[in-house]
Amino acid sequence: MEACLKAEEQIFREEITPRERLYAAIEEHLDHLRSGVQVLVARSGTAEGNQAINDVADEILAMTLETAIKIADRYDPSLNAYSWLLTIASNKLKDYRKKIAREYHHADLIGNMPDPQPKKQSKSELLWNELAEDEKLERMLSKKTDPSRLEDQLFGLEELLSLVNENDRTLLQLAYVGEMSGQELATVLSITKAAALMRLSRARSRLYDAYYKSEKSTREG
Amino acid sequence: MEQELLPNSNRWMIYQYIQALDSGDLDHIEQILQTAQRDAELDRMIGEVNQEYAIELGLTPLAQTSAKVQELLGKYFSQEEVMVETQPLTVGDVAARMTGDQELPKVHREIGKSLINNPLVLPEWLSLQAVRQIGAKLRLADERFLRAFRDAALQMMMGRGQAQMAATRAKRSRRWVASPKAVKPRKQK
Repeated sequence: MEACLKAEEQIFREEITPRERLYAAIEEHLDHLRSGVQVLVARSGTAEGNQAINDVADEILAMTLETAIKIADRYDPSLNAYSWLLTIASNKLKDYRKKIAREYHHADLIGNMPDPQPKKQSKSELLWNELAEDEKLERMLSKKTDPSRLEDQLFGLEELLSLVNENDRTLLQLAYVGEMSGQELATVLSITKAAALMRLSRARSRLYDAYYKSEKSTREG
Repeated sequence: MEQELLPNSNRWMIYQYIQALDSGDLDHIEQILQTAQRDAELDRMIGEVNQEYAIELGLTPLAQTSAKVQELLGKYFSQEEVMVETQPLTVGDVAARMTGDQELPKVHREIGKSLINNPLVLPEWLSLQAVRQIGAKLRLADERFLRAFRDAALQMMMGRGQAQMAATRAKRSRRWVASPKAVKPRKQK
């Protein structure tokens, strides 16, 4: 039975063209794509409020589908369709922002649209971001403790984690002391892996911020 | 754990994606999406992260699509149901199967038991999003249960004479006609 299914699926795969495969992928991912576009619109600050976000997202989605259909014959079926489509959407969103800015000739007239581009990072900040996460933690710890002594390290870690609230502390302890993977964190917290990684990412960001603030205030006396 | 945290590992990329979203950095988002185009796991996780953001931001699903999107969907992606000879699969059918699956956690089997008489018909295209919507209707929020439910439903669909595959073929033949470029029928060998 399984062999039959595989054989049929193989024939099915061979029969379909890149265009057909893309169409099937669009149908499969449409709901996800819609919410992905909404998130891009909201996070880029292009629109605020549910209605405005939905209106812009719908426009971007239409432009994305239009472009995808136009270039469907060139679609490489080995690419993951969701990311491929969302990349197009991201480009469309950038174009949309430029168009709006041009139409009004003045960025202020776009409303409260914040600059979507991040602030320029200094060289040290860029280098810091390139570091692996455990290395960042090690560097913060080594400034506070003697890395050769385990007790000292644990004390340093405790001190470091005292800079953040209890929820963040628990999460960071599970990840760094308990050495839990994203999946294990998700299981323990009864959330999806993506949600676990999001929470961990934010907890880490808050720890880095708190650490730098404390270092700065120590330096300034 | 250490492997997961190395630069360019999926987890590291996901952190970068989250940071890029938090700062609204579309260029960085695009870079990561390009990587995800060739990495199925990263692609899936980005989808999940976006779902989480949508929930966190309280974004409601797009209830009404614009005329343009509707036109495109109508033209290229027929929304009409495809008739299949088998009886449509219901929540109760899947729940009954889950109840008897000893490999599932007990808690999932128990939830299954409570749904056995549910006549809600499942859509033929059972995306995770669709399952979540059904979960919301039935007040089921356990993500792992919903995933297990979807797996069981898909297996049953395949077992029922590959109804989903037949539906795909039917849709495909309609798309063939709707293709914007006149797609020539393939030569007979």
